Amino acid sequence: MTGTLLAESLINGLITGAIYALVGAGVALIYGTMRVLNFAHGEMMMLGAYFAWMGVAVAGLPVLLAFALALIGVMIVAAVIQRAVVAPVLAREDWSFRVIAATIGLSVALQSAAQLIWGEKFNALPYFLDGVVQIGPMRLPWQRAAIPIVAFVALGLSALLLYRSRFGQMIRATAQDAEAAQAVGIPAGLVHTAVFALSAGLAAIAAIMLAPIMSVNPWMGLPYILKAFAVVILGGLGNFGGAIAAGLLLGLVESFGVMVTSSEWRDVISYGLLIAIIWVRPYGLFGGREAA
Amino acid sequence: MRSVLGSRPWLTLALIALVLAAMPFVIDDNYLLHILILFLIFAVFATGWNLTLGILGQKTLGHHAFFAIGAYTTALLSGTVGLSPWLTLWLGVLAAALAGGLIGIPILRIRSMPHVAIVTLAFAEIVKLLLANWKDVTRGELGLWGIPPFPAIEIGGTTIRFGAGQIAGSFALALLAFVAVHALVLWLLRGRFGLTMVAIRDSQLAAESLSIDLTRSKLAAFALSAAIVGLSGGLYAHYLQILTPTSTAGPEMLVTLLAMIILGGVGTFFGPIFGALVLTALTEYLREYGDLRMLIYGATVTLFVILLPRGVAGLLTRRGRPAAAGDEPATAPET
Amino acid sequence: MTIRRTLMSAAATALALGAGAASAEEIVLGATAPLTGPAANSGEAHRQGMELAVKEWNEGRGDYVNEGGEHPTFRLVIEDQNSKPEVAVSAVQRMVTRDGIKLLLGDTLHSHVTMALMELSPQFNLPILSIEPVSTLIADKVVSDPEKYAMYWKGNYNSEGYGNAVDQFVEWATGKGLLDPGEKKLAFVIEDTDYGHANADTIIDLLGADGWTHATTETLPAGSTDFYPVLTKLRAEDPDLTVSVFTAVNSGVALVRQMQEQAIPGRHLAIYYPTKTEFVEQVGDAAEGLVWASLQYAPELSEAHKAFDDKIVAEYGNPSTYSQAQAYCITMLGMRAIEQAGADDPKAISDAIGASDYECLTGRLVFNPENHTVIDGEGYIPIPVAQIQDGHNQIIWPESSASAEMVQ
Repeated sequence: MTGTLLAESLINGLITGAIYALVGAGVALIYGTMRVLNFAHGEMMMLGAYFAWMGVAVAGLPVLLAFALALIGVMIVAAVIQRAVVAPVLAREDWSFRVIAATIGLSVALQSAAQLIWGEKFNALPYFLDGVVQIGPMRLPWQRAAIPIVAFVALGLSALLLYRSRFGQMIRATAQDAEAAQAVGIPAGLVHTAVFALSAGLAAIAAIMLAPIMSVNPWMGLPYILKAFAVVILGGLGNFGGAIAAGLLLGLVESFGVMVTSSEWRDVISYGLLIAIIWVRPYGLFGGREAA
Repeated sequence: MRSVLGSRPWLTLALIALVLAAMPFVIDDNYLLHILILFLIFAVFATGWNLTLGILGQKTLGHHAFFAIGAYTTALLSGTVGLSPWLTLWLGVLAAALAGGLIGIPILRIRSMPHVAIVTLAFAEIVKLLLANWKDVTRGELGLWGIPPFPAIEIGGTTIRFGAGQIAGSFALALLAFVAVHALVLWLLRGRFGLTMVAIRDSQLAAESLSIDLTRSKLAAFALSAAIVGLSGGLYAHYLQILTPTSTAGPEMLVTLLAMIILGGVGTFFGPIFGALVLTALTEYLREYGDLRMLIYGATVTLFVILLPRGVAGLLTRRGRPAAAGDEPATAPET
Repeated sequence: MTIRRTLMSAAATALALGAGAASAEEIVLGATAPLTGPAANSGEAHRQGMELAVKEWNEGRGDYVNEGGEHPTFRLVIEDQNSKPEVAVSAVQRMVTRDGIKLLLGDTLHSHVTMALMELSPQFNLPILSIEPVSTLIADKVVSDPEKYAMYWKGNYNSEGYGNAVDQFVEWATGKGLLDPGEKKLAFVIEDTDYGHANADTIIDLLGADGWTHATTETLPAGSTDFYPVLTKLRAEDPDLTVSVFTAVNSGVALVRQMQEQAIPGRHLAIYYPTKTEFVEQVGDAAEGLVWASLQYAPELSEAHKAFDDKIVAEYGNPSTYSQAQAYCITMLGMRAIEQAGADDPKAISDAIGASDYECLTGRLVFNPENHTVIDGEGYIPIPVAQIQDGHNQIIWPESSASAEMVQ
């Protein structure tokens, strides 16, 4: 493998990994706070991309305004979903499995709703950043270079919010014991809703950054959801930082895996790695026993 | 155990079998019988999966992999190698059981439900990708065709034929498998095995203190569950005579079967049968609605979870008496 | 017993559902198409083409064999197969039993679904005519058991069709100095379907005979959009000609854009995806100069195609692609066969399809009696190579029908 090839694979891996980190961190955040695996998380990506596309390509809004509106739109949808679907199920027995079933149903329903509303056509969001950075023999369009940058800004802000703010304290208190938190005056229900919205926002950012490169369609969230789950398990369930690290790692493994074998084996490599690691370290690479 | 089986399970099973057996004489419509054959096959699948999901309490999401393993094993051994489907069906079952044992080992060490769910889901995805990539043998997504039907058999001068166009024979065979599997599971559940399973589900610690060999019992249950699902895969392969990796081990199979079990009632013996019947009929009915079909399907699953958490079976049993405490496993966060 | 009652009522409901009967004078045509899922884009186009053909026929504007005579009236039933063979098999069972279809137009898109449907032809004594599937394996299957598949007909040419065209085009273009063969290194980026593999295999064989060496084939799942790792690998191989095969337009758009960004060396020849109308519009400048196969349907170049496109726009409000045209032509061909043979004898319908010689939008449709597949090439179905110039498609090969010169 030559130096250029190595460097390019590294960059490819980091970019894919940044997306996995954005989506995976959201899944981890939801799991960490309310022990819910959200199978409709991929559809939050899909909605984010469609909302952005509607804003830019249909309504002709300025790019940044359209993205801000898309982000807010997805967060509202997520909040509604948390209130209408997740919260009622959480009150039931055996909820941890039922909520999986409920969100799987929701995921199917959202995909076909999107097909009904926006049609089966593949839509394209125009590139919003032009130009190509040339680093030695490597060519990196700004549109791609922006992905890891935006991802780390978004994840950094989320981390600040989680670990350095009053709101973050409330989230962590709720995560440890929702009833106890409620008892000391923390509105646990509202915290859950806010966490759901925040996570969906991270997924929407990933989708908006990807949309110009990969086209907007009702099924675009599908390939990412299982990857996000793998990331969350590898990072230690519910571990926000662990998910980010695992996301990057998975991106790199896939990128180098494709280099060595062939693209059709990419997903076999990632899921095989997941099962192998679970075998050796059942509670993830970065989490202790507690994180699970 | 009553919460799982309901009262008089043998009588109920016999009645269901009787009603189903009368169908070919009542219905003069090959298409409806075809739908009923699919229902019978999926009911076997649902019952097999429900053994781990509801009765053992292990929330696995990868049983469609065992369906594919059972289906592809028998299809390849009969179609490509040329063995008799009557033999290869059981080799497919064996392969599924072995795979179940293999994936069961790491899974049963883990008590965290999400880990189990995701690892089994990833396992199914790997099986799907291997089937899709192993083109020289499986033909990948183009589909494995040329799967022979079960050879005709002769009983008392009448020849019974099987396979896609042979509705009467296929129906009889699917019904036989349906009754045999449910009788076997019922017999096991009524015995020591069933008590062990429910003890494990309701409390691992208590089961251990009762000196139940946890790992062995769980592995045995897991392998049995995989074997039954593998059997349904084999029946499917020789009935439809075409397989693709996505249609057997793809995520939609997971959604469909999960919906059947949830709708019927997780962890009840008759629930998945109801679920399979209702959803098979619903899928056909929704064809009239075209584009709306999958929307209604997904929404039905979500609404059932929210509004009828115990499924149809829960609705039926609730009327007589309130469910005893501890019937449902309290799967609180296991941290 | 509650359980029994539930079962009985479910059965009764199911029975009641099937009660809708067909009116006596109408001949029913059945079709299976992907109306849901990622291939719904094509399925919807097929629906439009088929419906338009039936509508025109019933309104007295069809391509009748016998202009002056009485024409039967048709009704079209389209069932979704969700890109799954077993769903399609169930759908056909249903259409045969419920609707009494006399001819199945199926599958409209997928080769793997067609493979499954072919098995039903002898069982239900049903003539089957597929619309867009190209897999050579289908034709091979017919040859392997001509008796069993006697009533199956393939309305599109074999996968080699494109391969032959690409081979002849490359030979022509290198001879003219329009394509620099360099060291004759050949690479492929294809979707992981029979369609992708069949095209690549044919081209490797044919160009291999002309001295081209095969450097690499990168296979990705259909619908993929992240090509960066693959392109990194491709650039290291430094190919002189890269052939890409995708059916989903989003894959094609992503690939062409990403190849331009990454400045992949050598020529790029695209197969199939540029037929979609949104392709040029979504790729933008990156598509400039792209050479692709095959421009069989070009409203911007052909009067007849323009007229058809206008009808689709008037009827459905969207522009048309090759898929609408192909579905229209094959549906028309099927109805013409029934017009000649009557609706009562499946064998006669099948024979009439096999004896067709019908000039339609996509070419002259004549079946090869050996493999039941329409014949491609000069005088039958032309497979022209096109180039995108100034944002428009131009035919550049064969020279006899070229609308513009190839630009380097």
